[in-house]
Amino acid sequence: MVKARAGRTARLAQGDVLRDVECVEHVVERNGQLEMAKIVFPLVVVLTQDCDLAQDYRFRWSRQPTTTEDKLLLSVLVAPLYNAEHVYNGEQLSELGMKMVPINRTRSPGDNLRKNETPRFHYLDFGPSVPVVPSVVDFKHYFSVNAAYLKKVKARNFVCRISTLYREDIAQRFASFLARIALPD
Amino acid sequence: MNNQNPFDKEYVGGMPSTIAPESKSGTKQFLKEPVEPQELKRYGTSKPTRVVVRAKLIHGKG
Repeated sequence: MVKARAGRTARLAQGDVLRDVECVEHVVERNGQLEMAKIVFPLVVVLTQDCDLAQDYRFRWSRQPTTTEDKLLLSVLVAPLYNAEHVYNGEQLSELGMKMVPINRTRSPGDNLRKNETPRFHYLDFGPSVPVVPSVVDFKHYFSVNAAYLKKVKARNFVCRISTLYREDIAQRFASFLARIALPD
Repeated sequence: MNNQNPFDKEYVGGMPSTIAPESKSGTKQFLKEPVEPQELKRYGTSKPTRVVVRAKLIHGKG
């Protein structure tokens, strides 16, 4: 069971779980009309390293003058949390018309998922004090969000923050997933 | 191979019966048991959705 805290910090922090975060798919202008498509994710977890987020916060919102914009983050990395039940059935993105590979919950694939032995996913079983269903982070679906926008989202839609060690575990597994190398057969 | 009688009366309760096991309607059961208020407040039950926004551009607005 993962530990998470309900208390929030003012700044964005690694391990923050936020509701209803938007990912812009495309913006096009066509025949005098602007069309924007976005995906709204019910839950995401912040993956960007906490030291980077802390430095960005100090740069943006502290009154201290700086000579450069060197510590400014252009965006923050997040990954969606899907309902574990939906992931087992491969229907976590059915509202987007996408079918995913189901995971047999009673056999090895399900066991591996829950033991966090599947590189692509990270299983989170929140305790009774956190009002979140058992969820799965899909590292393959990470996306970036503007830092200022995400901070506003946090003010309204903060759910919890995953506790230390548990959030570092997620970050470490995410980094490993990105760095994986597929060798040819 | 074990020597256990596949029709061991002890296993089936000692009473031969041809009545099928009672099947409970899952829907009936769900309707009888209201969802706990805590369940209603749990996040993560919905799925990602796509939203398309269209707006007309006003060119040359001063």
